[in-house]
Amino acid sequence: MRLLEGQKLCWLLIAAAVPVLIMAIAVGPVSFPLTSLFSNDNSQSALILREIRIPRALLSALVGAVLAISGAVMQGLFRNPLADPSLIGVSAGASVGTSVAIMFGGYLAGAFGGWLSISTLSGLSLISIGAFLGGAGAVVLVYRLSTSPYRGTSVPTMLLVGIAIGALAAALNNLMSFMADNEMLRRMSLWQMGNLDLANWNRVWLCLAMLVLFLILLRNQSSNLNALLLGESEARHLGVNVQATKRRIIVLAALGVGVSTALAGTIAFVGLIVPHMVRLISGPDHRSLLLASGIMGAIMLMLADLLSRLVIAPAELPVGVITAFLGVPFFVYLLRQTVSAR
Amino acid sequence: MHAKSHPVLQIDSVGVDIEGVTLLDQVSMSVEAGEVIALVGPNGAGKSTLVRAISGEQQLSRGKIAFNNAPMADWPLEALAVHMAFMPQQSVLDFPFTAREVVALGRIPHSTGQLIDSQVVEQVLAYLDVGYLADRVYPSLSGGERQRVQLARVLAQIWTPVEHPRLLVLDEPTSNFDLAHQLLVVKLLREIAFQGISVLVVMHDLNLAMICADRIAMLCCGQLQAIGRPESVLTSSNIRQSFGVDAEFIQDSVTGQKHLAFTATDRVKT
Repeated sequence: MRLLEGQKLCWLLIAAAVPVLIMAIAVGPVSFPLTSLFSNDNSQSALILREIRIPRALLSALVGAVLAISGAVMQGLFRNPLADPSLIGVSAGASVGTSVAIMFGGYLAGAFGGWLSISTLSGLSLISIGAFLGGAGAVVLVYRLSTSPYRGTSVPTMLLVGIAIGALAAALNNLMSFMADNEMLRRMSLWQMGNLDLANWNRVWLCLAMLVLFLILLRNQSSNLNALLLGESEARHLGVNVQATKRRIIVLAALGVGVSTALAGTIAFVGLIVPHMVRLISGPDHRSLLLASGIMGAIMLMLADLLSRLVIAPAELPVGVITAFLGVPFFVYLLRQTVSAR
Repeated sequence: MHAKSHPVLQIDSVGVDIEGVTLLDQVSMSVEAGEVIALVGPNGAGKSTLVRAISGEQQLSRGKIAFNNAPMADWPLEALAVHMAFMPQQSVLDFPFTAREVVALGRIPHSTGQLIDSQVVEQVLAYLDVGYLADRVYPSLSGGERQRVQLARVLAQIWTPVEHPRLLVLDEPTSNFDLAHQLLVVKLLREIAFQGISVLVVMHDLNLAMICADRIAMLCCGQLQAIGRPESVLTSSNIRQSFGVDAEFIQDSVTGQKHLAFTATDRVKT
């Protein structure tokens, strides 16, 4: 049944990640030897590598890792292998935030000019900030509505509230699309397909900080998540503080998806498919699942971004389109394999 | 055997109201070290509410419950988890853990190290006759097999001796078992109790309860109707009052063993 043990899978994935990273840096519309990276001149090729290719490859790896880990913990929390970060309203809220930023960006820039220049300096656009605030706002709303002082957070209620908030967000989005002009409309829909072409070093550092925070705060949560898979009552009897664990997981997943959405738009399927693939290969134990999902998510998004740059070079496809094209057939293949193995 | 200076579990005038409906009222009983108590009663009698109250999952409206001489609320979750294991009626698990991994989850509250944990898991798997299922994926097992794996999991949780006497609370553990495994579990519960672990088990089958338990507690309409040795609790009048069923003892002429035989009365008690 198990194709590989969790630990072996992690090592294998790390071994695979290195050549993928090199490939993601080396391959592009303009080709040149990697050695120009080590030359200290300010030639065009060194600049392209240092300021465009490397940050972009690293950002795609980091965003992929954060998305995949967020998906894995959400699926554990909801005890549903098909749960996805969009279920708690992050993606929907983020897309409303983006649409607002795109439509009213001009007014907002006038009103909060000073504040904005600071954020633009740190490598974030108004759109990113809008996405993050929208995503975070939606999660806070969903969490509040599904938490009562007596029963704590009800996970089934949260799913339903998430769907409701998602529908509300979709309506808001449609309303804004209806009112938007052609240029705005194009920007909105492009953002919703996800793209990494705004990668820069500031975004890389921000995402890296997010990933490190993730790994630190999730370090001791693997056993708790394993226990939660049995049920909340069962986890409690195994000595797990269920409410505290739920709160931590929700906050982290919302933060992770919010940050990565702010940096790279909505990238579908990574959070859903990657943890699922890892489970099909090495089982659902979170002690290896979280790490393996992170590395596999990084590899998958690097590959997807590489393809998005190459397929219609020198133009680019939105990376979200590629993740779906790449991920879905592989996912279906793995699914079929396990069905026949049973 | 453990000293019987104080009961492992002391339930004192416990009452539970939910939304104005009284589910439990004035229930008092104790569980001694190394004894098996079967909790019986008709549907809606409050059996599950009582075990949920014992496990700390259900807040009490009145009364108090003490475990190893300390109020339940004073027990930290982690310390409680190594002393008391609880098996609910049903556990839904859709993730492809193997049976062995599910049993190993029972070792989460322990810090005994991987070696001891895996030894315990193997012992429990063999003990409950689920060793041959160890590498199968849990969602692919049948209802009875899943229940045996879950029982193995809660056993693994309290398998190793700890500071205080241990308690195993089981809510209808045998509901999906075939006959052979029902009897196996009865035998195992007796063995577990012999090692000093107290067992509180909700059962529907009165005949099974009779051969399994040291004492039987009969609940009806949220109140404790009778508690004591099986033959003193499972009387025709008690059973008629609680279950609305006529019952009589039939003695096997060869083994001398007693069985209950039932006839439905005209009305089912509500």
